[in-house]
Amino acid sequence: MKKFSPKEILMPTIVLFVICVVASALLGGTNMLTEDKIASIEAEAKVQAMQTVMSDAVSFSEEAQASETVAYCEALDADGNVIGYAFTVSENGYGGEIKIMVGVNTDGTVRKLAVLSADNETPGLGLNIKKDSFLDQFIGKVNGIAVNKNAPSGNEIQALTSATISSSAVTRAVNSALDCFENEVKGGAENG
Amino acid sequence: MKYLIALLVMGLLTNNFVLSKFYGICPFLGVSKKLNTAVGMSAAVIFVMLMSTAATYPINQLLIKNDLEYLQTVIFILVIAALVQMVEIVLKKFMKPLYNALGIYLPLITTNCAVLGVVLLNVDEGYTFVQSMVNSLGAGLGFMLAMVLFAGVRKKMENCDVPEFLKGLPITLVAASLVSLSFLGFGGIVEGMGLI
Amino acid sequence: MAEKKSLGKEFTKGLIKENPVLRLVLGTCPTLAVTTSVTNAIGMGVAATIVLVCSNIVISLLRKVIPSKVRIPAYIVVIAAFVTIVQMLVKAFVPALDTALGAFLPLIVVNCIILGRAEAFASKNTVLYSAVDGLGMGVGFTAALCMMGTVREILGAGTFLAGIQDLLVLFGDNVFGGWNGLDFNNALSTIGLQPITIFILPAGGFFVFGILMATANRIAEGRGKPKAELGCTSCPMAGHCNKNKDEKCEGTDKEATA
Repeated sequence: MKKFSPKEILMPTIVLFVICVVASALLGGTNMLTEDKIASIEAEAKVQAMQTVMSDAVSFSEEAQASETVAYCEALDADGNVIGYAFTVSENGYGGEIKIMVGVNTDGTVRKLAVLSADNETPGLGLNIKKDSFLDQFIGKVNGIAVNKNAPSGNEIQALTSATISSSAVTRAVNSALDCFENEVKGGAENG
Repeated sequence: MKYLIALLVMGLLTNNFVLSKFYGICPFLGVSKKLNTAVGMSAAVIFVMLMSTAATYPINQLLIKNDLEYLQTVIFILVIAALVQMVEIVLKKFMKPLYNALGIYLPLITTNCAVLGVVLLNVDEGYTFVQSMVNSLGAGLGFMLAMVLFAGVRKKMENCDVPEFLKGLPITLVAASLVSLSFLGFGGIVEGMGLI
Repeated sequence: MAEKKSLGKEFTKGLIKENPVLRLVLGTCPTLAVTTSVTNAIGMGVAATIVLVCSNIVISLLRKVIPSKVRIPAYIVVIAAFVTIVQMLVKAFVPALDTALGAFLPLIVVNCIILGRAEAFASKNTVLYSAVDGLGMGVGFTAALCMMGTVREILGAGTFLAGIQDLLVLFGDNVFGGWNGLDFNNALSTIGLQPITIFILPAGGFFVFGILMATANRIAEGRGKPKAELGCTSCPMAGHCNKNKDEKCEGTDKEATA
């Protein structure tokens, strides 16, 4: 090994350090500028999804966390009456977490679904759960929905071709929203 | 426990890092010509993946605590680069045989997106420490499986009469496409085993 | 090295002669992963181009300050900083693109094109040339991604430029009268056809890339240029392969020994 002069050791360290500090400062600055905007976009997307699944609602109550994977809020009409609920459910899909929003009527039937995030599903297969033709199958179904690969009847939905795992993940999510509705929301209302 | 097994199987087969998520394609195409180099490279990748997952987990907790999540990418890649260098030095000094086997691949790993990819994925999915480690192991083993299988395919291909215009990289890519297609068939395994 | 060449040449070389994807075989991961639709391809290409130009400029400015011993970590920090900035801007202004590209947005950090250009060009050339080189390479990258995306989206999903409004939000709502791409699915189903899903699956990505590569090779051959191969020339870490500096870079296709 050659002998290093102090300059040879110090200079690289100092330069690297300065670059790191400047880079962090720049990032901090950008973060300050974009933070609020990003947060508001995320909130907006959620509100939009709520309005999609409960289109009649005028306003929504604060979201309550029912369990680790299920949260819900009440959908209110202009007079403040509860006309349904919007559940946010996360479930394991094919490639990671799927997050969907389920609109549930007061009688316990599914009103409408919206996919909040399904980042790790395969485009062309699992990602097709975002299509209305799949999601609209759930409308009007009640708890205990089953997946059928061929000819769905009654309380069943047709699985997407080659994407049974993603299809059943959505179905599980809807069922757990309905479970939560029966056990917590409805039960809670009767008790209270 | 069931979830951990699912993570491992998914990383290995259904969500294979190389063949279905497209991480680490450069080494997959570049270093898969011979079986021994393929194994050497994959071993180095598994090693670095596990080390960097273990190192970045506590760092990430610190970042979250201080609201500095936006520094994740910068810090993670620096940690990986530093780790690769350190591993190289340590191996050179104390484990000469291992160094001789893995050493040449180590500098190439910093720019292997599979390593940064798995670290970022662990953070995104919010895995616990154990889950992160298992996920990284699954991803690394999946990388190895793809490399080894593909080395075999390429060995066979050497004796094939390939049309002139597909010779070289194009036929390698078409072969990779077929291997990837065969991995599609693993889709039912996770469901069949009732893992999720 | 390139000081005497014209700026125009620096720009166009990235498009065709030294196209990063089809000739230098760099950045294969995003090329395969995000080209399931043209919209994603454009988004990825533009994001990478911005990072490439910015990092080339900064690295070229700092080329005399950065000691060669720490140049790789220094480059990585610069690149990672720009990538994170772009990522935050995308999250704030084009949120749909952030969802679509997923992890591949932060992974621009390890895109070999960017580190490769920093090492091979920006560290040796003046700011203006480096910026133009970055722009040319970025546009070449985007063009190659779009080619892949067009083939895969039309054949695999039966659409073209679907969801383009997600990108156009940058220029306001409903640009081009809210035109959101073409959808051939209805036309196809009337004649009893369906898109070939396999093309947007990973396997289709490899296949289309292979065919595109073969075509590019064919054209290059016609002009007496060598075929594109993976090797030391395209490996940004080649300079760091300290063990084999004089020999061939081991661990790549060019490796000669068993």
